[in-house]
Amino acid sequence: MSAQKAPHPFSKRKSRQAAFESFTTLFFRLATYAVIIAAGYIFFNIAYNGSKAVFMTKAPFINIAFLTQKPQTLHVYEPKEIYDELASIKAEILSSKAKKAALGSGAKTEAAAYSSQIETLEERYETLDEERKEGRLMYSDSEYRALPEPPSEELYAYNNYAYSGGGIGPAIIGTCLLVAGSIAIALTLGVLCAVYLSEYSRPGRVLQLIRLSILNLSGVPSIVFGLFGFGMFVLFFGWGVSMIAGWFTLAIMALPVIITASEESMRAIPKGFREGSLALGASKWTTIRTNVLPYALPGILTSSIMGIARVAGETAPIMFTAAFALRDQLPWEGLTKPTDFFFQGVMALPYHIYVVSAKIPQNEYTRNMQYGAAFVFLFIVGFFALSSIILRVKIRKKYKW
Amino acid sequence: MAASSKQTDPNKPAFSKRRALFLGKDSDSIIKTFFGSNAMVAIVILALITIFLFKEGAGFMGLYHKSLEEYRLSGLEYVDILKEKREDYTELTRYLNDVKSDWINELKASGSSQAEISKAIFNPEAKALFLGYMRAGSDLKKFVKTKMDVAIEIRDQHTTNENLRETVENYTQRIAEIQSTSYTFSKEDRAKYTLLLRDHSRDNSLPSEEAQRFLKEADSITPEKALDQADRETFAMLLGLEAEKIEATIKPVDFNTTIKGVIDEQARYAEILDALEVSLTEVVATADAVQFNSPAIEERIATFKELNQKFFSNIDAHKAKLANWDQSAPVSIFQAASAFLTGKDWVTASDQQDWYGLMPLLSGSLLISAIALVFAIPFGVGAAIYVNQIAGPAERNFIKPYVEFISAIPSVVIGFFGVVVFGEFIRWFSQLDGFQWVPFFPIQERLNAFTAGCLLALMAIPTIFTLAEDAINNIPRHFKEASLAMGATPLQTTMRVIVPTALSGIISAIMLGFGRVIGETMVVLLCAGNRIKIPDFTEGPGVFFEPVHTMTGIIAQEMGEVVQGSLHYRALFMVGIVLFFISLIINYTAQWVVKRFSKLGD
Repeated sequence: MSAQKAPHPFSKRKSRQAAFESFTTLFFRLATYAVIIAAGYIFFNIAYNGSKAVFMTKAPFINIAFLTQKPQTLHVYEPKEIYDELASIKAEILSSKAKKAALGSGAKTEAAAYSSQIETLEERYETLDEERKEGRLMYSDSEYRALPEPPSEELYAYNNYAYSGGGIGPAIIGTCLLVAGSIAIALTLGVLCAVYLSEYSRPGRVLQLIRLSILNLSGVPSIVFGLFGFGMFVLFFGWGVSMIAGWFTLAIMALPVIITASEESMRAIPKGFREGSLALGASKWTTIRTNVLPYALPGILTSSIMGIARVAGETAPIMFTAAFALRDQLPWEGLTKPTDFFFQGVMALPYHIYVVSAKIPQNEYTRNMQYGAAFVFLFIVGFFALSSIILRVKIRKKYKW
Repeated sequence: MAASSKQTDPNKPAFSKRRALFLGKDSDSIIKTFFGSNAMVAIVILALITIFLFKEGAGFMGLYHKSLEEYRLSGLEYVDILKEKREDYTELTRYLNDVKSDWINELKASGSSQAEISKAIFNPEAKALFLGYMRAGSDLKKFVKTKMDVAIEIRDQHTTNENLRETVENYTQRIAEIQSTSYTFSKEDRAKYTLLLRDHSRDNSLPSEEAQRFLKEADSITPEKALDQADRETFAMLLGLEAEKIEATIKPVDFNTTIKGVIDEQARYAEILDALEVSLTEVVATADAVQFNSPAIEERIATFKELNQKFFSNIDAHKAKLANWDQSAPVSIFQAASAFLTGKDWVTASDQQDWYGLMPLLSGSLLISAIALVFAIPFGVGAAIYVNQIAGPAERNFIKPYVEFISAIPSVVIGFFGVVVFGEFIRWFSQLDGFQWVPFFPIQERLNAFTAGCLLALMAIPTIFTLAEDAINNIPRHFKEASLAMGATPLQTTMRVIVPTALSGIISAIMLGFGRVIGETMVVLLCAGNRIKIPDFTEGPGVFFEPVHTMTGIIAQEMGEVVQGSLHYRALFMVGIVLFFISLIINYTAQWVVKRFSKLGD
């Protein structure tokens, strides 16, 4: 570089290299923050729109009905006059637009006239739309049936929307039951397996094979677990579409995460703990029970919460093993014998979200249910994931061997 | 271990605790065995998955082979060859209509009024071209339709016969069961027996006293009445009669004779084609008389003429293909396998032939994965490098948990976001005036491979990020320090020392990210558009905006609706098997890459 007026000998000099460096660094930074912003926008969008369904401006501020009721059909009555007028205005706007488009490039004044006409029509449409929103009547199915007589067909235009009324109560309960059962199974199996891997195993063929299987198991697509669960639990064991089939399918999915996490936290415990115990004459099992598991437990549990989040978030494995699109009864209703509890299908939030986003149209009436369900679900899963992450940081600070 | 060796030790210390033995093992080794057997759970599950996938998918090849055999024997295959020419012709018609609508648009753009446009479109020359072309093929269409109907009828009759035979088989088994001495009448059997007796008594060919006897017998049957050997025989006889009746309705299909109804009239077909060639040539010639007044349209008409020439020149090959078709050529099981693995159609519940070809699904899956990886690799690896090498500790402590949190977002929520927000956004973006120079904008479908690919990228980024960051983190400090001491800048150190050293880990991270993407279900099910067709790669980059279907999506979508044990059901399990093995291969390769190319010593 040409010497200007004697710069400080160690100051950074401008060079092509330095420019390239800062540019590349900027690229990496942008890549990172683009991901963060993209994910952040998804959180924001769902939280913002979903909170409209879940929270209210009046006390008790939380829409209890939405969180507890069953999904129902929504019956909507809109004032007929306004409804018809809106339709005619919409048609008028469309025809004006078509006429404007057909004008060609020559007629500028006419086009301007059409534009202003369209504008006034659109304004009118919006004011009327507000009126429609104020004047409409909405009933969920149960309310609708309780009506002495439905609003008159002459005054109101009637539409109904499946799944859009009521709430997501059974789906929340179903998800909680599925997650609780599957985690209980996965933790039992996973911790037992991890104890062997970290305390008893010795390097060799078998250990290699076990590790290879765990690694491969963690890469199997969730839908394949679903197929497997369907083939084995639903058909071969004859459990049908049931909660217990879903438990086992989900537990198998969560297993690799839990085994790896448990083994890691057991291996993190210093050798001295075990040796001290063994030196005092305790047996291997006593050592594990008193000097390994208690110290590893917090680690096992926190990492397992991440497993819970994953399991709760999966839809594909429960699609044909445990989930019903709609079920009128809650899991503890209508049981003839206690074992029926395990052999019933349940509603589950992830499957419910799939159903409401794929099978019903998108409009202002269905949107509430869609966003509300997604928000509640994201909240539940996010709560588990976040607490797992925070707890882990705390534990790392607390236990430093 | 320690405990068991103690027991064999002759110099056993006096204070050693006596251990209870069970099956020659002490409690510690029993506990060890217990844990050890539990550790096998991963192996067992992997084996079970393989077994059950194969158990359900196993019958597929046999059933598909049979279906393909029927396809050939019934002559549907022959009809499909016939249809090729019809399809070509329809394609040409569509092309011509396309030219017509282009022409209309151009007229509109040049400021012509509606009346002028219709005058141009409906003048005699243009009419002769557009309408004439469409009418010329009616004979061909009719011919193919009749042949198709014949072939379908044969195939349907055959299927019905198969079903009836199965029913008769069931009857035979039932009768054998009843005739065995250990048989006792169940409640349903009593009802069925009564019903059969009554039915039989109404049979006119029976002498009246015989009929009376049957009727009396029927009346006498009560739930309590003991039924003896004679009753069993009567029941078996009656069932046998019913089975015979069913068997009589079977109209056996002799493929050798029925096929004649399909493949006859080849001479007439040749005539039809020749006539078509003559009339099309005439019609196309009229195009010269039409005043298009537009070089672009005239160019398209010239292409159209060329396409027609190609159509005509193919006729002979087409005829030869028909003549060479052989009904008796055997279908090998390998053909069935290759029809599945390389088949280009996935058609279910059609009235002609069901096809289960993997290609549309595999290509859709791969297309979406490619899009996802194109985004996920730079962002994931870039973020990993940034966080590990460039970012400060505060930034790192925020970004790492945040990315981990992203990985916990349920896929169905991301899919939902794609349906309601992101798909709409992409369509809106493609309709912006400023971007109309992009050749494939505006896009038609809001749910397409690109929508799904972008969202899947977001799901693959945490996987790639975490693993790549781990790989970079594992590089010993002295690599970096040595490089810096030599005077390299931090970025040079990162790009020329750190990244190359961690490359095997980064590649394996990318592979596992690929595994995550190809196995993801809900996002593709909701956002990929679900059109079962091989993406049209001739469109250039526009292919990314086509709706596609995927392997995972098809299982999730169709599994709930299929009949258990049917060909379709087994086909879905076959897709599952393919998916399972793809994931195993990806996993295995990822590990192999780390082991083989790791530049760090052990």
